[in-house]
Amino acid sequence: MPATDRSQTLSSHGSTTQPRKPTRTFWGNVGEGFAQIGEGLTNWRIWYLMGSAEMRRRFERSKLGPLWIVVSTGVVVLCIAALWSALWSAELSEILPFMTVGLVTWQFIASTTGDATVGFQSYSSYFVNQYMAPSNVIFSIVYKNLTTYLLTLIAPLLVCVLFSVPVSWQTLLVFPGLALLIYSVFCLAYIVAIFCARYRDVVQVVQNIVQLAFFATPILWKPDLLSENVQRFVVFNPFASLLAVVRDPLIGEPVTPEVWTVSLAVAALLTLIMIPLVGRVHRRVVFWL
Amino acid sequence: MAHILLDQVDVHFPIHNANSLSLQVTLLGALNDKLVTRNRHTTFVEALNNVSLDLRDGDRVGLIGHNGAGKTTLLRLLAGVYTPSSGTAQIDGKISSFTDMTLGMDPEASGWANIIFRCVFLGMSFREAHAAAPGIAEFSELGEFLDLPVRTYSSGMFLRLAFAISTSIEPEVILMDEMIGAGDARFLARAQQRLASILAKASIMVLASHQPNILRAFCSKLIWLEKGRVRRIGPFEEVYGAYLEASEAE
Repeated sequence: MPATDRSQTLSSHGSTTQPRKPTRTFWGNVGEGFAQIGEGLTNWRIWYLMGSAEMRRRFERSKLGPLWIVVSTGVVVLCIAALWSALWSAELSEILPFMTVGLVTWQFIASTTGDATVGFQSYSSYFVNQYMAPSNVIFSIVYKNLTTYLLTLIAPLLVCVLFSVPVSWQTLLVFPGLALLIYSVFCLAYIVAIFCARYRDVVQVVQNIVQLAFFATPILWKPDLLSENVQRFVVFNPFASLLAVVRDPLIGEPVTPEVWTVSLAVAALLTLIMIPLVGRVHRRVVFWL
Repeated sequence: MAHILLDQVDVHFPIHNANSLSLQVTLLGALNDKLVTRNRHTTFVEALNNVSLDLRDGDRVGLIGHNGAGKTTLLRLLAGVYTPSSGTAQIDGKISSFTDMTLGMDPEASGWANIIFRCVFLGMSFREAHAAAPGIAEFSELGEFLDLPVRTYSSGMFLRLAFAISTSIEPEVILMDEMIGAGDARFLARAQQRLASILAKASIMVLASHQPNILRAFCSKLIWLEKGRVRRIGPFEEVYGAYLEASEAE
């Protein structure tokens, strides 16, 4: 934030006055932050409609509609399978469930974050014409991308069945994992959306980070390709851990305690940033659009 | 009963141009004070300045003033879009802002679906929206067109639908930026009738307009805004007379 004490007021008739800003305490912001999220939750009808309108726009006048998502991930899965067996003659049962589940989960993270970079900007006409809680936009973005994600998961799940990935009670861990992933992505999207609305350069920064993170995260490569020294650090990549809590139960691999710890820590950290930030700035968002 | 109480309200816009919108500039500013001192100054525009108002049940208020006088800002403040930079704004009552009647509508969806969307945006539940839909459809006179995607409508038909939906609720406080109306001559007459009936039921109305005859027809009070300040507030003819005099003197 620019320093307010040095700010200058342009009055249309020449006199200069200091705008008096209402000062709020940290805990006041925390309270407002929670109230904002709560308000967003009670507006579920509105963000559900906003999210489904986005889906409709994407598939307007197409016969298959959202089924295209299922088809196109199917094609991607086939390509990866063909490529990997031709290039490395790798054991497909080793690599294919890992890669496909990981890839669509990554797409969920990346596209939610990408939508968030222009989230508030693209709804500016809503914000200036009637009061709307900014959290509505974030909920709608997460809703839309989650719907897409669940559709893209179909093909990878078929792959898992095809390669008869072991199913046990541990598979159920996918549900807490998914909850943790969705929650963290929500927080991340909210933080990203706020900074991107205020500082437009952040839009580019975020897009670059997301691109780099794709290569730095074990999605198309397995951690055991790395030397053991480096392998230990993979878990500290927050994206790698958040991916793993969903992917590993689905592909029948145990989720290590380190992965859970890092994921929970990421979620906690994001909450600690998001709540006071939202409480502090939610009233100002409309001025940034 | 609706009640609007503004006490010494300022609304100051921070102007985030390329200079102050970039993170780099703020970071640089923190590192090297001298280099970018100028950029660390946020410029504020005083859109509203020291505005105090007390609007009560039955008030029909017009807003006049030149472009940039703060009419739209005041309407947005009343709608809850802007919060005061300082001072207090207390607004009690169900507010409806007729500034964009198409919010929440989706050109790709059918007329019927749009009725539901828009009603939900106006605060209804899905059940209430479905209950309200037939009445809205009838008023819009769009008949079978309602089954078609809204993008196939002419702009007049689109506005008719938007008007029919937006005026199907009965708000306590109505805010308008210029008088609303829609459609051809025949529909316009029905629209005016409908508007008159919801205006009659509303507790407070605030209308910003440049057209004196419209203001005179709908408003008993007038607020004359000038450069973000209330220059004068009072009975219609009194304030309007003073406004005309000042305009002619310029």
